[in-house]
Amino acid sequence: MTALRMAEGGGSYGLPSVQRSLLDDVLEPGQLRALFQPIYRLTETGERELFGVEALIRGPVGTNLEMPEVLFDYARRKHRIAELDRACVRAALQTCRGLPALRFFINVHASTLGRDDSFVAFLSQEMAAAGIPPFAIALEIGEHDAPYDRAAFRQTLSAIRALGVRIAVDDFGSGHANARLLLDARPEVVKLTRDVVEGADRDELRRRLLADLARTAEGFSARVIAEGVETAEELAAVRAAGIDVVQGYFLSRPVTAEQLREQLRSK
Amino acid sequence: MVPRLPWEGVTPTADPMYLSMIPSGAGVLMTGFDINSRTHVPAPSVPRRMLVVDDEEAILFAMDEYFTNRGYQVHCARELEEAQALLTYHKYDVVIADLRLTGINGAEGLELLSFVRDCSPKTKILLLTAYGSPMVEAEARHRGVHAFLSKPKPLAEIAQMVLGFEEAGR
Repeated sequence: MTALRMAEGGGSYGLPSVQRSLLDDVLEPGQLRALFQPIYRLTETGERELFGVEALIRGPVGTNLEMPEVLFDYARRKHRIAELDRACVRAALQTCRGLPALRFFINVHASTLGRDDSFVAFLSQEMAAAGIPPFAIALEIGEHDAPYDRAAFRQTLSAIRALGVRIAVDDFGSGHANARLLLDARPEVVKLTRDVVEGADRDELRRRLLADLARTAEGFSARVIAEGVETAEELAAVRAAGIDVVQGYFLSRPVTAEQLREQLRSK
Repeated sequence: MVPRLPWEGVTPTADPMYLSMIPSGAGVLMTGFDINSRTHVPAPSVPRRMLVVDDEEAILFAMDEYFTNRGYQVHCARELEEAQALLTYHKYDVVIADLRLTGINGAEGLELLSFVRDCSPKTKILLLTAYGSPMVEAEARHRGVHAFLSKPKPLAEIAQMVLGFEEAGR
């Protein structure tokens, strides 16, 4: 490729570019926003109790990176997912500041925990700065990347648990969020992928898979949360599978910290 | 009727408004594209999605304005990885990319070309370059580019080419 560039009559002779990228701008303080999606526990009488909220990160408004899938895919291709994870954790915790006492679910990649050896100190510092106690936090671990360093990952998780932070496995049943991650993480919470929840009311195999995945998670003594519940019928299917903690557009869309505060105040 | 852009029919040097409407990098625009072209290019019958990839803001601005006014839904990206991420989550009918983007190899457009061919084989892709060489062009053709154009090139000419590809693909 260097030959190609030289053939074009210019170039860097293979030296890395030091030009500032869009990601550098996104990583600046204040560029990322956190929204909150409520997670509800359904009581036996069918009432909803707030179980916690998941912090969902959005990139700068009006840019291509506003959409989180694009933001994370872009950072992954830049090989800077660990940096983005830190910025997201910081943005989420800072937005949690001042909210009533809740369980906050905050996302991080397994690869970051396997790679970033000062992540625990960073997390501890950020929680203290935001005034959020560790027991109020559940780190939601997802994996969309190449295999992570399992030994380093487990070591980091032990240190995180020692702080008092809970561990959740995100998107269980899809992509890399598989049995290996479950075995490595031994989570307190397992969030089932929306891929299985979507259309579960119309598909017997989905319902069976949902019940099987829930049983697997419960075998780890983990609390099970079904994500992506978008209709009353899906909610009924999830409940029939024995899952009573749910999250999705049918129950609530993501809201800003101010809207969440308002919702809590009005109850 | 094709909507007229504010600068259509305006001679840049004679109208200071023309310059005030163009963002920084106007020099590139004025030498890179003939945005005063009056060639009539019909809009596509249904909105078509286009991704324009270039690290020059002025070129993105001009392409965005030009093709949006002709009925395209245009997304713009400045970096290879940004374009790849967009292509992963959106479908595009056409990609127009500069050969050389911010990066380390100077031919990121070729990498993008391979990516488009892999992830979205039906998407038409045009590469633009101010640094064309037979070797690079041969490589682009080998990787399946639909058109390899040297800059400067009038926008209307690019638009005609895009329309030709789209009609041929129907």
